[in-house]
Amino acid sequence: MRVVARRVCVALAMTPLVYGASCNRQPPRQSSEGASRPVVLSLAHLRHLGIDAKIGERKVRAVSLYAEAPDYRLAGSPARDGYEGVASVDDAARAAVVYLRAYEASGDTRDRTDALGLLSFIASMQTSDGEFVNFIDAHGVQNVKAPSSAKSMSYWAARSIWALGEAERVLGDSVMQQAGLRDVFNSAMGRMELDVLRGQLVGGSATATAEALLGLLAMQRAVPNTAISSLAERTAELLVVLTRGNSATAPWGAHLDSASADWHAWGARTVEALATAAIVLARPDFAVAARHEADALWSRYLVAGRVPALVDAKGDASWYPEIAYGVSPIVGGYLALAAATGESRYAAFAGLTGAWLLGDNAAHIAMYNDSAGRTFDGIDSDTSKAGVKVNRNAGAESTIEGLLALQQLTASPEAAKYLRYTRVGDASASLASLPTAREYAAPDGQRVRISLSDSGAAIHALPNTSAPKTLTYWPAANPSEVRLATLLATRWNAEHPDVQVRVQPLPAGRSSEEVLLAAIVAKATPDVSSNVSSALLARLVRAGGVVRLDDRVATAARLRERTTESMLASLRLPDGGIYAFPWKTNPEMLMYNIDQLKAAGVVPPRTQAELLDALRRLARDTNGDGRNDHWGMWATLKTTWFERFYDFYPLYLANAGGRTLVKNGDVLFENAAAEQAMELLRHAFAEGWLPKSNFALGRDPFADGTVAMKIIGPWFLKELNDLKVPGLRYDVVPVPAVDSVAASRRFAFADLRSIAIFSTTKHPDEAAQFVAYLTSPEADRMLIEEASQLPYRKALAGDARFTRSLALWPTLSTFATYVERTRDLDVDPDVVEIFDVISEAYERGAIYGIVPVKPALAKAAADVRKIIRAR
Amino acid sequence: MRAEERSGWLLVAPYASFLLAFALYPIAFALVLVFLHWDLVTTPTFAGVDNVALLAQDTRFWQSVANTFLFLAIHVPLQIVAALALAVALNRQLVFRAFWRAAFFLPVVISGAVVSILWSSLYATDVGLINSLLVRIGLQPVPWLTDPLTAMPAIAAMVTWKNVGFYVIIYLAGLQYIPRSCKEAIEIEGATTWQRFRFLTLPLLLPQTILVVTLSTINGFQLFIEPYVMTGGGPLRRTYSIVLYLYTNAFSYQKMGYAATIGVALALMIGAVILVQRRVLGTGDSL
Amino acid sequence: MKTLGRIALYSLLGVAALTFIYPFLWMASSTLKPPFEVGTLSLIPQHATLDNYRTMWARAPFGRALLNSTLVATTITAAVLVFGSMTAYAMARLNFRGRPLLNAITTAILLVPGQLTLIPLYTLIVQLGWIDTYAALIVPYLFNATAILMLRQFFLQIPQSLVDSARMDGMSEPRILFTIFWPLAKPALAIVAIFTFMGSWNEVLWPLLVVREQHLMTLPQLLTVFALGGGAGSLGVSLAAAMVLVVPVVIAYVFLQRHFIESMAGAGIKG
Repeated sequence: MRVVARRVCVALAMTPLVYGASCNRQPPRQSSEGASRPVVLSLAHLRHLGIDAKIGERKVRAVSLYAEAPDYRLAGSPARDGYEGVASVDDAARAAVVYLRAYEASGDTRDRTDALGLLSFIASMQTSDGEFVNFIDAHGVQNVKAPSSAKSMSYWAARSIWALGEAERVLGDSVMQQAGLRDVFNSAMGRMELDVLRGQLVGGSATATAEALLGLLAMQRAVPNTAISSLAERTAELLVVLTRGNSATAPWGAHLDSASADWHAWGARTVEALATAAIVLARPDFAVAARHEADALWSRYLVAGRVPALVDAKGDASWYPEIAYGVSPIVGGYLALAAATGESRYAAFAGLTGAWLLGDNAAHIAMYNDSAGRTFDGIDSDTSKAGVKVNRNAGAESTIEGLLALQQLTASPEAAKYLRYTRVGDASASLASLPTAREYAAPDGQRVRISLSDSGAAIHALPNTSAPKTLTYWPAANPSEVRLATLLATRWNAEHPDVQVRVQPLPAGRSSEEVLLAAIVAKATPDVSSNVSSALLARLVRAGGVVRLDDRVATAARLRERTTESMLASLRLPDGGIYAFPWKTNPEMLMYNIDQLKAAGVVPPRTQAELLDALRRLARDTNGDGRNDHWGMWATLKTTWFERFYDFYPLYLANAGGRTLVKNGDVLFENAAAEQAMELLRHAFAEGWLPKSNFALGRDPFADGTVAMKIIGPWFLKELNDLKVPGLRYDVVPVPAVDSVAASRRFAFADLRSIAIFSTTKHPDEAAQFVAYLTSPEADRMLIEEASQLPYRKALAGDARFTRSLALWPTLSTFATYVERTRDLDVDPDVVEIFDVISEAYERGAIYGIVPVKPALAKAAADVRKIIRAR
Repeated sequence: MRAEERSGWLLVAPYASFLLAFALYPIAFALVLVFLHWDLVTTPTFAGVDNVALLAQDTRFWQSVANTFLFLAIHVPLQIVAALALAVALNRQLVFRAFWRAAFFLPVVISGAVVSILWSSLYATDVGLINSLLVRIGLQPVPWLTDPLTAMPAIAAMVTWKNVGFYVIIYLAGLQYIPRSCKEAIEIEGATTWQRFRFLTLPLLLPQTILVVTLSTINGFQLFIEPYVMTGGGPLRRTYSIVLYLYTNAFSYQKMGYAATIGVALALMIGAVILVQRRVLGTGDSL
Repeated sequence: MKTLGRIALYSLLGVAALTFIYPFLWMASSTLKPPFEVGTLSLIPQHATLDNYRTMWARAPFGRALLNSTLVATTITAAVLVFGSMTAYAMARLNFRGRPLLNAITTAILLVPGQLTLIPLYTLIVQLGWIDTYAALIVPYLFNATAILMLRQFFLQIPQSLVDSARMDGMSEPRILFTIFWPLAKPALAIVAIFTFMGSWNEVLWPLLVVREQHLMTLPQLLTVFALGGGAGSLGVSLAAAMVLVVPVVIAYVFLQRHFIESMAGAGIKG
């Protein structure tokens, strides 16, 4: 431990120091526009630090230890440290975590390549007993002598486990197996197990143990198994008992390696590890243990106005140096607590703590430079000048920890909101005697007050001098969404007295479009609406009628938290912006009546050939009047455009390998994929295997047993539940595709619903915060539970936070696996008309068969081209 | 005459000012739209006669015109005969007359959407009530709403059924204005029931008939909710009415200019048809 | 012969009436059916329940909406009767310049489909600042071209001799209208009243556009916004909502019809 801490301090002492601002100077005021801009994450400097290395025969990537201001030339370990080397596993492992998380969000293969190169370095530093060596020199030779480098199961081993676990979570098991990295993890885990089962901390340190635990938990998330979960539980239990003191007694709940040890800010990841364990292992008691340190100790930092470097067992704090490595673990801990407890105050505290990176520090300068992606190495006291000095070097550790913190902070709307706040007044000198409260102020003058209480710190927005703002919100008016909207708005209003939301439901059905259009014409639109169709949206965007969302702090953070770049790619407009928040999705699957299929000896169809065969066998006459009265499926004869969502379009998408109907003014559906889908329907209609009939309105032929299958989205689950059909048992399978289409190239149709902020709003930032609120994990859980609908959220099916909610509805977790494998309507202003044209082709080619399929589709293609040309 | 002129204007002054604000302004607005491209969201652009030219060669529009005329050809005569027959029957001394009158009026007060839901059940091919009756008497079921030939007649029959109660009361009210002395006079002359109806009742009910013809024509031209709910315009666009096409262009395709053009064409068509009807029924002043 | 005719008449009427009453009964019985049974054609619920009404009430407590609807519909009906008959009287019985034009415009209005004027009318209301007011619900309906034409048609049938003698007695035109024409035109006024009340009572789209505050919502609007969800599960609730809407109109009809029959008994007009 001392070794690592020293490394930071020495680096600080040895490098040229640049004098920062004095303590009492007010931070420079930023323009409110700049302040409301989201922080940009840049990996440029981290890439700059990247170096190629060759260990034995193996080509790997590593991260240079230091980069010195002003030109940021790369540098190795200084003589003072005994020439440890040029790069370490310590840094490589954490840099790999940064790259992995970046890849997870962006899908950028460069990030993946970098991560794999670093993991390869880690692998080559492992010894046969599962331990690790830390440093290499410029020739790729391992430094096995220096105490900060020698083979051990200690810090660098713990961080390697963390990186490998994250890699499994992000890249998946097959990639890991192929790269041989799973073996590296297993062997390290085996070595770690020896210590843990003997009741020993990894490397004798809570810090190292916590980082290793994070790795185990990431692995458990990816590939749940009892060996990992029981070791993780044992590990967490070792950490739980390390807490000392309480809210009244120093060291205030800190998790210490021993009774006499100091608490140190660098690497204080115990809270993060325990809170994450609470979620992954479903052990709420770990969250309680995590709270001890955060509520009692960290709350004092918030009121003191700064994070100390050290706190000794008696509660005396050393305030310097201030380093990114001291801030990042606390940020991670708070955010993990927010996730584990659902209390958004912890996210706010993470934001206030992370504000250190953007200027709320002793030097009042931005330590993180978001155009270069650099984080300065630290701030130290300058005894000679009664001020502080800023170390403007930007080495690996600072850069990595800055990025780790900001990756999380910019994905949390509640935290991101506070990133540009600064403390009001001078920082406290002691943790033992604190004022009762501390205020923090935003660049626009808004203030919050943090006060200490028995249950940790509390945050209150100070009443604004300006009049309370009102937002109007128009949700769709189906009962479950109205209930959801009302519930969320009521909660929001209680938490935000300054910004009150009024819910005014839009009518359901056809009137909804009329009401919205009329409001647009009269410029009487609400601030926020969650019932905007994609076709209308395309026009609104063109007309500048809606607010861009990926450059507002709250919505940008929520987008990062909820989606990956590939999930957003199709929603970006030519200017790269996201103008409607993708809220919920309804991936369609083939639902079938278990008993009817079993009775007919039909297995759930996997291909369109099997589907046709199933339709043939399920069409039957049960009352002996010579006419079929039960069928395999019902494709409605109606030509209203959206009816094609349930027959032709999903069958086409299953075949089309990702293509939709139109793109950039080109017709995409004049092809075999469409012909095969249409031909299937034509065949079934011609043979009478599909009923040439419209059933009674308001009565579902699947629910009443008239048909045995149905292509439908998860919203229907709630309806089936409301219908309470006695004895109906059902399950779902993917919509069948033609045999030649590989399973990985099959896409489900999903009608994505978005939330828009209209340009008529007077309060775009408040509206963005409200939108982020409507799309929080908590709100998403309610959406699933109330409406059996799926939030457009990455890795939803495997996300432990949603497992219980998904399980409330039969088959919903199967639907959830398709959230990221969908195609939507084209965001085309004429999409409705295009679907009407498709409907005509469907009617002429399939239902009535008066034109063969191919010319019917050709005519549709010609009509669509005409529509596109006309605009 | 000056006094009459003044009273006339005084009495219609509120109406005239109302017209200016709430009728002429929207209509003028619609007329302007004919010459614009407007999607309701972006700023309108000048279209010249684009919309009119498109209308002239838009086969979908002309098909909707043909559909609507087919509907009218079935609906209007059927409506008059049904309403008149029921009115004459109900005008007799009947036990429970209030009950009978209420009965026939019921469909009028039930919303069009609910009636459409019910009739889609009645008309359903395989599970509908009508077809199960047909099958019971040994006939083949008819795909009422899904056969291109029967869909529009089926809708026309349903609309007639729904509205007949309203026209019955118009006729009933008219029947009261037939002076008893006339009836007595013609009865003394020994006319048969049919003769009495043909030569006394029918001519005296001409004003009501004109009203019924006018209203059912206008309402028929505006056929919308029934195909919207029951068929969506199909099969093969055979129940796509003019107003449904207008609605689709306005609110689904957001082509306001073109929708307005359809609307103006529709208004001109209704006007022309009503003029022709007036000529045939032979009264100049009525409207 | 006469009895035979009677029997034939009653059985014919009976059969006809059945087809007219059936939907009402179907609707009434469907509101008592649980969701999986709604939509069957049988009139007797297998598992009768009041759930649909409970759901509707829970989602949309409509006490205030009932009041709003009653206020709006009766105001409009009264206005249409008073103003409409004034206008119709002038247009039927008085000669003044502009009458033919007024006639033509009134007919022309009927020819223009409502879908077309919806948006201009709405922008007008927004510009007047009437969103979320009773005015927005009432004022655009104070006059009704159909009502005017109907009343005018009936007024034309009242013998000119009555007007002439009244004028001779020195009656003003409004007095002629309200003391002579109104009693004679009771059936016509009843039709207009029913027609107007019904139209206003059932109107959904316009209130949806101009009112967004719950305390101003009319009954059908409130039900549309809160009670109906679309989809298979809500048909029972939709029909229950329709039922709640229909009953007051049927009561109004029965009430007005009595007037109508009484005036008939007098057979008002002497030839």
